[in-house]
Amino acid sequence: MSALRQRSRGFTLVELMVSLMGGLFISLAVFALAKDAGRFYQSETRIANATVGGLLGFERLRTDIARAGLMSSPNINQDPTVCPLNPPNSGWPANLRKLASIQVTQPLPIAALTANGRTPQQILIAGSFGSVDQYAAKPTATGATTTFELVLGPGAVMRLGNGTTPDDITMQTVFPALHALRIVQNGRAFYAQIVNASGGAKPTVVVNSQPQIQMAGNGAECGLTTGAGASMPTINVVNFIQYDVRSLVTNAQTAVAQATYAKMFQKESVAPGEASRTELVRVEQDITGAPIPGTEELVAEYAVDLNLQVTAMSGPSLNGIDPAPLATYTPSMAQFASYTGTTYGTANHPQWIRSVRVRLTVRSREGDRDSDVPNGAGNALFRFNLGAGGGATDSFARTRTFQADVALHNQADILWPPP
Amino acid sequence: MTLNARTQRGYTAVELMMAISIFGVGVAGIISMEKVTAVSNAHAKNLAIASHIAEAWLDNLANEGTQWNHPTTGDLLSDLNNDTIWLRQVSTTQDAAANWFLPLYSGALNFGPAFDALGNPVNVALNPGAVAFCSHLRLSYLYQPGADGNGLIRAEVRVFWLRDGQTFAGDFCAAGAVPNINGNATAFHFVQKISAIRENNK
Repeated sequence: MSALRQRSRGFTLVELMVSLMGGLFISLAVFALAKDAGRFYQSETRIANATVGGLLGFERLRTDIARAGLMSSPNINQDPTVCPLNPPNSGWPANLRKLASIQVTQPLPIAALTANGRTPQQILIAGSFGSVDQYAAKPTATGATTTFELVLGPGAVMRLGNGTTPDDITMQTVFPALHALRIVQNGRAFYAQIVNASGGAKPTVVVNSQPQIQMAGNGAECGLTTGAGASMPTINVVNFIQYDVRSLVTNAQTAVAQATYAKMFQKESVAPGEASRTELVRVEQDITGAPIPGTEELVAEYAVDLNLQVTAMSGPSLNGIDPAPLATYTPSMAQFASYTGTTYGTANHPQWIRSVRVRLTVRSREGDRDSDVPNGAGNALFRFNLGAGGGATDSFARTRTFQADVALHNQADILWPPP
Repeated sequence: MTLNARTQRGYTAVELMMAISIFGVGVAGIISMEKVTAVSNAHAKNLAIASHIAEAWLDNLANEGTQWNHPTTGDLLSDLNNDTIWLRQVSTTQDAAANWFLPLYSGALNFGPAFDALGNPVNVALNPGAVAFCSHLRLSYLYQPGADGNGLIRAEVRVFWLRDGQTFAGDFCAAGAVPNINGNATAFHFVQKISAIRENNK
């Protein structure tokens, strides 16, 4: 009995305290572990999102760069196949008079990026980005304008009209006003500015006199031949595509777009750094260099750096036949501007660029780290300080960097001008 | 009575140890899952970087192909040896594993076999510690160059990097390491891409 009573008694206070303390420590450990595991998976998901988002944007950029110069001139100011009335002059629309496959410029700095040592560049790519079709068209000059009447029958035109003749809206979508038109006849290229297009039984594209198309005759070295017996020219549109890193919180194209982005983006209180976030943006420019409404696209979220280098022929061809050796130029090198700067009124030679080395860096949405990591080779960014722009302190976002050399196949063997 | 006594006694040390061990196994499971997630994420990143390195190589070889513009009907002297640094190593025997080679580093192009963790080209001679990715080339003729100027080279590139937790004795981006890399899928991940480089006959 005595033994039984002793065994069936309750826990002593000490036993209870000990077991409670033990239980407390175990539950603390479990909660800490659960919290840590939750944070870990959230942070890994964020960097995985940054990887996929950055990768998709990077592929888009690469594809566009690879297409630079397609059915266009890599440098309108030196192109021996271009037939101008005069060399491009100040009367020409701004983008057309400096038409080049690739142009790189340095936009105004963005505070949150310069605080991290980032000064992303912007790139302007020219080429036929709307279509790979060329349309046979019969030219008729009337005063200051020239009208091109599309030849019905070839596949390209039939595709436009879905089997019949294209209507007004289709023609104005494919040949929009304020776009550059390239006309090719007998191996010579002419450039003009589209003012209007119309469909129906006689689909036409109308260009104005800025710049004026050189007509054959009157002793001119080259010119567009019209009338009976003339070989039929082909026409295509040349587009100007710009990529840059910018804030859509403050710098979206329209108020409507800005309001949409404001809804999409997080509250600053939820994710520090949202107010100063930047994205890789693709926007199309018209022939005057103005951004075209409705063409602004967010290509990669949270992009923080866009770095461009070029690999190019290091000088004129050796004897008009042999290409000069190749070299890679970084933006800090003096020669860089002679490849990527404006071609208008200069001897710059973007046509010698053989490939573009692109480096895009994106960051994860939140500062998942509380310490920095020194930059890598070539000023490559490992951590992005969200506090540097005046936000949260000691909050560093992880980054993902994508880099590749993109060959410009459309101008792979251009050697002009001769030495 | 005995039964009653047994049911009412406290936990024995063995029971406690077992409970703690089961808890420990659970915790270890969670922690190991974290490691798997982190390694998978890093692998996805490395795969993307390696793919871009391989594509950058093919585009650089295409660039070099523009320098290879002889022999043509006008000039019978081949300039593959003088005007290129990578394509000149084209093999005349096709498709043998031994034909993989470590390409040279070009200072003018800042491009070569080695790349750092972000995919930046690295000059191994200056910065051997930064190498995270290495690449080999295998070049063979699809069409032998002749007076017609229509030479065509099959260009294969393989980019490789150490698997998580693996080590390699010595420098894996050295020319002497090539035979030990061949088929070594235990220690390395590989990305391989193939293209054709045409002679510039314009």
